[in-house]
Amino acid sequence: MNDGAFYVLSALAVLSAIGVVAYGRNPVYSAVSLVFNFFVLAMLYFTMGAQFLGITQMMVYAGAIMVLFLFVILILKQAKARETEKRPAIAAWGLSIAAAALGLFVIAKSANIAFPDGAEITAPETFGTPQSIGGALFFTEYVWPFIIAGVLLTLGVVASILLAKRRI
Amino acid sequence: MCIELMLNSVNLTFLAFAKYAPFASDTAQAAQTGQIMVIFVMAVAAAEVAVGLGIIMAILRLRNQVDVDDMSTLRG
Repeated sequence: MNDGAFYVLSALAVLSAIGVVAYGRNPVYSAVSLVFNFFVLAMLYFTMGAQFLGITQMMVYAGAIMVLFLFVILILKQAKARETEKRPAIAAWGLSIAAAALGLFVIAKSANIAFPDGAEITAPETFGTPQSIGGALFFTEYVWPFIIAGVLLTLGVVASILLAKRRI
Repeated sequence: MCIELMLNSVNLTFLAFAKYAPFASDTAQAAQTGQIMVIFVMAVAAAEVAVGLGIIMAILRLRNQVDVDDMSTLRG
């Protein structure tokens, strides 16, 4: 049951990721395919037990970033676009590079790196809970990266507002 | 959008290694580290998307077209 769920979800994720690249003529289809990919990835995080990250993935990626992308795509549709006729060559290049990457992954998988703990790799019971992540983020270990990430996000907000102004 | 695809693939890799192959003596801490890394990747992706789309809007306002092949020089 678990294996079947993993295979189905990964097949859906790969197909929707291919759909992002394949829908060249219609960027809205591409963006919707990417939203579907984010939802499937969130489901994969849930099957791994990472509940907090699954919800965060849905909220941040599918809920904020893709909304931003769709806004910009719909604004850009009113701009002039040039029709390109170079499609078959790009598809051949993309497929060959993807096949090469897949071959590299297969080779890396067959390298059989030895696990140091033997056969009992189990994640702790508090694997995906918000308490374990929150405890590490806010209080003990990753306080400085957390603060710097906050500063970075504030910088991002200020920068995007400055970029959008007509007259600084 | 393809940048978001790549960042999500990195997130999935981090989570998979945090859960199934935490190469550390303290597996709880390694699992936590993987998930914290995923959170930071998400934060950086959000900031980068905001700034990148702002740049695209600024270019659109300047030239009234977003044809990347025409912007091959640094001249504004």
